[in-house]
Amino acid sequence: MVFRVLFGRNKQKQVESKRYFSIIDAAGSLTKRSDIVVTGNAGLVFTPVESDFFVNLDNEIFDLLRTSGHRARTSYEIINDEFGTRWVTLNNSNLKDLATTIHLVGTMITDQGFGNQLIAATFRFDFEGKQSYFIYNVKQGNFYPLVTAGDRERDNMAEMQLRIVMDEEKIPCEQNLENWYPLWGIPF
Amino acid sequence: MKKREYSRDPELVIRMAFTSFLLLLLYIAFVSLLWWAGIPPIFIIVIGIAMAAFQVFGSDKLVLMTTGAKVVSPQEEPKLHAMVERLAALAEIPKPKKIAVMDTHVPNAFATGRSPKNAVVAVTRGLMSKLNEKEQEAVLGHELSHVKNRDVMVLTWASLIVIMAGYLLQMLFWMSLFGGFGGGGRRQEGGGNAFIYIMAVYLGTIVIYFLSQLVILSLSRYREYAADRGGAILTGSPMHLASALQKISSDIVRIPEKDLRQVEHANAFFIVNAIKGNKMAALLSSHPPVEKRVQRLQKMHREL
Repeated sequence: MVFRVLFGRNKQKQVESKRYFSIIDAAGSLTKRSDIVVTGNAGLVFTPVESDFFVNLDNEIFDLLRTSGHRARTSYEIINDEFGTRWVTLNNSNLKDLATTIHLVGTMITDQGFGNQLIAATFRFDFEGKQSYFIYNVKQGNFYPLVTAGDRERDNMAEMQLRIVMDEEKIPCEQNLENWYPLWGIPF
Repeated sequence: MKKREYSRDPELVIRMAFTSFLLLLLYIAFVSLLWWAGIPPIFIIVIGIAMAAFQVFGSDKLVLMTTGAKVVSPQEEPKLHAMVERLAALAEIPKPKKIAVMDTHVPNAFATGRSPKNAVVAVTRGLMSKLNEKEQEAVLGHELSHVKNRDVMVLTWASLIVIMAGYLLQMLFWMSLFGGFGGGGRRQEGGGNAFIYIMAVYLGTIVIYFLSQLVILSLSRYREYAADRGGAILTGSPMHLASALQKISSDIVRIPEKDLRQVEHANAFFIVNAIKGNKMAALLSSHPPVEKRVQRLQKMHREL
């Protein structure tokens, strides 16, 4: 058990976490950019399974926020969507705290053994006035942009521009465009 | 309606003729090598022809299977069928026996089949959604030109030498594992001499194998230019094919529309990190670079 944690699972988790932390590191710089307006909204989407943990998720998150000291400035909601998946959405005007809290929630779910149920972490902002998101695919360990335009449509040109922004902010971007799967109807 | 004629691009014809000539030289070299070593070439040639014929006859079924393309009826895809029918009539070939659709959002198309009477044309969902009608027509025109030019057959038979050389190399390899050649050598002066002959044949065949691959790839690229030309003449608009090619080869069209949650639930998520930007030498490509194809089409547009 110790060896698996040391050499197996843990190493992979570390690598993926490192890539995720890039958004925490870039938070200050992103907030300062003139082409980006941080809205303070983010969410974690996952596929729930039958278990006490998910039934009690609301309390679990409440406790987590309280013990981590983020309770004061972070509000949260738990939302079911039409795909049979569930969101934990968070609101905190400070992007760094927001990204950190998302990571805490994700880690909590993973520590309970449900890491496989996690799908993605998503951050909302305005890019040049357009409704945009950074999607972090948990399994791939990479970010990629999503700019929505109208009903179930993407603004690919704006996404190409966002890719450049991500480069500038040192946020690792998914190389293979065919993996830039969108999330439609993000509840924030 | 104006009858469309296939005018020939003299430069392209010369290049194809030269390439075919090189191929012929390689065939002669191969047969000579075998004859010199005392290996009866007829055996290899017969097996080679059988394998090439198998390839030509089975190409459509095999490609449909490997690409996952599903044959569609006129009721399922009326617009597609109408487009193909109209273009086939213009090209004066029968309407392809099978029209198929591949379920990917990346625009693409292919045509295969041993003859115009047994042709299969396939497009992706991405082609139908991301290209406008004129561009789709241009791509289908290109594919039907391949059918009319019998490119599957031409290229398969051209690659007969690769098939034969490859088969011979395999045979030699297995035979060397099991204790060497018995009485194939011209001189039966014991193991030593036969060994030299075998090695010479082996090395010679490897060289011929690789050279033939390069020549055939070159021929394939010229056939692509010819299909571009044919398709452009067929539809009367080289520029629509040019813009279709640019769209197909662009990065942006690879961005999907399918929701991540649907993908996750459909299958275990693959960690696919395609080796992007694989700068393989142009020599090893069966298709010419898009910029060059667009250039030629622009030239056509000015001349038409």
